[in-house]
Amino acid sequence: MAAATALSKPVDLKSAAESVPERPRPVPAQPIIQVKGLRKTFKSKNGGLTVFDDLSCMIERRSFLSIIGPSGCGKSTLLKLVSGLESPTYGEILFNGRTVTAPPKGMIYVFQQYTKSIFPWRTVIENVEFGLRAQRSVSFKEARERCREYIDLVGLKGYEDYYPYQLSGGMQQRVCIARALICEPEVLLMDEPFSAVDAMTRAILQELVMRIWQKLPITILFVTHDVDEAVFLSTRIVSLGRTGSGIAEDVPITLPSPRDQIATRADPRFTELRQRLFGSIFVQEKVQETGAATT
Amino acid sequence: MSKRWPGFLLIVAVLLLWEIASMQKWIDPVSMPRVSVIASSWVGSIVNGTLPESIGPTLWRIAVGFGLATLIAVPLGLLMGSLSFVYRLFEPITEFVRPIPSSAYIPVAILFLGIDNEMKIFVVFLACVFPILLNTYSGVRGIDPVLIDTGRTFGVSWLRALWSIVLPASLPSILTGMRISLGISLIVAVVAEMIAGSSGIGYFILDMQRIFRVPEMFAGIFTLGILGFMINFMFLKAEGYLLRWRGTSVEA
Repeated sequence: MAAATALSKPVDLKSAAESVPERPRPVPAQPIIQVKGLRKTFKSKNGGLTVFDDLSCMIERRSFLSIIGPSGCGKSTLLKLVSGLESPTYGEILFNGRTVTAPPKGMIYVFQQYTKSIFPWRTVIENVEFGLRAQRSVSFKEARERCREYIDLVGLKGYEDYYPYQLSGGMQQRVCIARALICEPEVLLMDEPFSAVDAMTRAILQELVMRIWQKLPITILFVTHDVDEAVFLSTRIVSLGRTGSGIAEDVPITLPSPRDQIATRADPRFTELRQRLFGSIFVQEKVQETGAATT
Repeated sequence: MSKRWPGFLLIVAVLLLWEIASMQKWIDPVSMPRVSVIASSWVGSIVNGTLPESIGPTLWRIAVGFGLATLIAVPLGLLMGSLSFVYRLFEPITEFVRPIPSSAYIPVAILFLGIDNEMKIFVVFLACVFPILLNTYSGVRGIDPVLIDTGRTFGVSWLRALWSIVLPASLPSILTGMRISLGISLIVAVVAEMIAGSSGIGYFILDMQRIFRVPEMFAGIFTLGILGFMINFMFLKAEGYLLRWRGTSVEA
């Protein structure tokens, strides 16, 4: 609750939180996502590229898991596989105990390229409404009300009738987030969602996501190349090694919550975690550079 | 509008030159009557009803032919763009039929459909189909995969994605195809009317030439110019409204 006060523009989270209906809770011990013996090979002219081989991982309900790693290690590919947008070469992904073969209900993917993911022919409220109507049919009045709640939640009150071209990049990504959240997903998959916005906007959006994660019963998988961002947001970080080498480190982040952009980042434990993870990626990135002078 | 006055001035100058050239007999005044004579015959043919009577059937043929072409080419184009087997099925025949000028079908169309409305609507339809079809499926194929994946992650059905993502995303391209077709439709309708039948602005122009009422003939030609301009202007207005989300205002 205290995290909300850190925002300059307090929004009515109470109503948004209340509007989330009770979901049937499965046995708490079961991880929400299980990755089992995953292998992904991309075919190409000169043979094939195996991004990972026999990768396994359990993701607990309500966790905020960040995936980091050197460029080209398959962070985004892993997220795409979990989402069901791409299929694995071998192995399987279980979501609530069921094998993922196509994008399942209850999981929404938020794309890095928000300019390509947002519907430019729809206004802000119409974009958000798409998410709602994708799940179920609602009356016009109810739809408008629900959309307004989520628009408020991401801090876009007053921009309901703007078209995307009239908004800044950060605002467009907020629209995409609201559009995803209105589906009340159990899992939100975010692929470097803030890599294309400026530093200040990024800090604000990080707080927004943090706050949403605290308020809503949601599990977040977050891909980023920014180690600071990962440490700041997550409850757990999975660091992937060089292409094909699988998980290099799996680190629980036990920094106190609620976190704060200034206080948390000044915490010595934050610095220590950051240095350690950054160091391990940096070494691999350098190995990759000297190994193959591409990328 | 204010920056367009040099263009309008040029039109006035050309008409003035025409008037003088005809008056001074620099050009044959029988084949090229004075502008003022054309203008008065123009008013005459409007007042006596012969010109308005000719415009009606032409507009009707264009509207029906173009409308049918849109109704068929847009859905087919959407399917060709999104389903590769539909594309592979129709692409060869499209590429073979497309280069044939649709006026070449007029003799065949006369055999099957006679010389009346049906024949002309069919020929207009045929001419309009291909530009719309081509632009629709290339528009669909140009959609960014991220947009398609967005539909997939929200779990919308294939049909729903076609209607609410593919169609609006390819709308700019579809409208370009429609605008090209609209221009062609006027040409084809007039040619068909000149070849067969006894109604429409094409017939009017040819008839006036045959009975040697040259000023009326020119009046018909100018009417076509204004008609074409007005149709395009209205289409651009509609296009600007439909694509208002693009942010860049389309200058009419």
